[in-house]
Amino acid sequence: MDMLIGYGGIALFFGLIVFVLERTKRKEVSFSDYATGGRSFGSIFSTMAFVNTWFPGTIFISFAGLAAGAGVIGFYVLHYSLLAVVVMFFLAKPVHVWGKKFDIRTQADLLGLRYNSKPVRVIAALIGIVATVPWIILGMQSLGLVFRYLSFGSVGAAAAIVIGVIVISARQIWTIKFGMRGIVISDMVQGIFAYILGTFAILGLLVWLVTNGHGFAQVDPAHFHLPGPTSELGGLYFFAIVLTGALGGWCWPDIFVRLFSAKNTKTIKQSAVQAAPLLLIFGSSLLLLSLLASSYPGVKDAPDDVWFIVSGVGGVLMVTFAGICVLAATMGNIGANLQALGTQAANDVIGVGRAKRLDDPKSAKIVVGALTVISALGALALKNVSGGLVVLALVSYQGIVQLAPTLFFGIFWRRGNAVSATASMLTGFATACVLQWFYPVSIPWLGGLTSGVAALVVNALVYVICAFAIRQPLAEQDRVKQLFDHLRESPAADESAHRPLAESSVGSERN
Amino acid sequence: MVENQHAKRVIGVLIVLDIIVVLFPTLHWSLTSGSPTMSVAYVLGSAVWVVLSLFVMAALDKKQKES
Repeated sequence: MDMLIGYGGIALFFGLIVFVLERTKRKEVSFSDYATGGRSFGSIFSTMAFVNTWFPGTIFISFAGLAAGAGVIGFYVLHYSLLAVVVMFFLAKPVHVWGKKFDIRTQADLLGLRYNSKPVRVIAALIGIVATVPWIILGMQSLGLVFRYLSFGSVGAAAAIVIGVIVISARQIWTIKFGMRGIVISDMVQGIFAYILGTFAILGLLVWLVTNGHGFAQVDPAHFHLPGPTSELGGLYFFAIVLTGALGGWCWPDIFVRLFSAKNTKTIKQSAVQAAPLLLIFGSSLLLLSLLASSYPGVKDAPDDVWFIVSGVGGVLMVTFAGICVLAATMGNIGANLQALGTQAANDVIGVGRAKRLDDPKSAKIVVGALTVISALGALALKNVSGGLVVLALVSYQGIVQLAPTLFFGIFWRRGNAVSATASMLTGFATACVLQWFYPVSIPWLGGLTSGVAALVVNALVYVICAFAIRQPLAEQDRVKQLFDHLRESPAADESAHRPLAESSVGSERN
Repeated sequence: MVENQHAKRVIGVLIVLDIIVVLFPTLHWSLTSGSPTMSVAYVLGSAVWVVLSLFVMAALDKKQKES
């Protein structure tokens, strides 16, 4: 009976998402519509789409587990998320204005425009794809925990992973069909469950913990320390992981593409202002709950299960709701990742390979479908080796952040050029890989910096040196100047329909 | 014009303060090395600070556009 309630709750939630998607469907007429949802969403939808992509289902598992198992260091997710929202506020104008004016569909597409370079576009697209796939596989596998707990002991760990992979793969039918529009609309429903109703559930559980003898006094005192200069991790470790999260967050293709689906610059800025308190309230409540729950029986032995263990105090219905929250957050993240990667592979790898600007969304749909199948097969084939996959996923974070100098210097500084972008991305990625191999957690002789942050320093230096050392032809300097001049035009330019590429010399080389 | 420059400067100062409050290692070491209350106050207080600073930045940005 308990399992029927648990799995029945998941089935009802799945049905609700499908119902909403089918009710709001609209035929996608072009590739751009499929990739960006017609750049039509207001601030509320944009806010929830951002949050549902930013906080994956594993926020309830690994991130909560870190706070339960190691203490306040787990709050780093809150810190980097809020810094990333501040960055979002300032990315809004250049990214949206260029996106609308030049029909930009992906992060790699934007870099291709800024640097007028196909190699930059393809390298950025490939780094994004290679770095993201392990996270999709891990996200799919993490649903195993949901189906194991909601079976109330009837389904084993391996079988639960298989069920989770099948369910999340089936959900992608609607991602493939409806593209970005479907993602953003379903993010609203999923987000309401995971982060709004979820926050109420968390607050209820917090009150229960505090009133039942699980206050700060019961938490291990070591949980209140961040790594200091004499610690094993190193004094700069916390700094490094927060910095990697704040900068690296915007390097993920699925996060960046959120900036293209909003209606205008003002909408993105409003979204940042709305997302910040939502991230703060939800994130701090969940992390505090996890920290206090560290003294709850069973949590010490399985900190990643803290959300389900504590939810157990509310009985079967509460555990079912806890599972729905994880599923809702996972659906948003995996759907967004697959849609962004499929679009990026089609637009910036296949499109560039064919020397053709794709207009039909069919190719993107095929690639999203193929990536779903590959990821699902990967998740099933690797279901017993998730430890190795976690290492790969952590390596990929150190790798993806190597896009940051190319991305941020390119958007906020005119001086950079295609050589600096290509050289910095490749040196940064290679340095991060080598350092990660020798120092998987932190580098002792650099005070605890991670491989990603150490490589970022090399990466940024290469970018700046090349930017000053390599003089661009006058035509290219003029093109970049025009690109930045668009940002100074009246706000009306932000609202206007995009100009066809052929009319603009700034983007005329692109396909 | 002068007001716009002032707003830009305040926004710049807020960004620097956000970076210091959240990323400065010495703050991490000194505020999270002993008392549980101080540690929790730091990890939550710094997050609240960033959110409030963003509200101020947004208000200044809006004012800048209007003028």
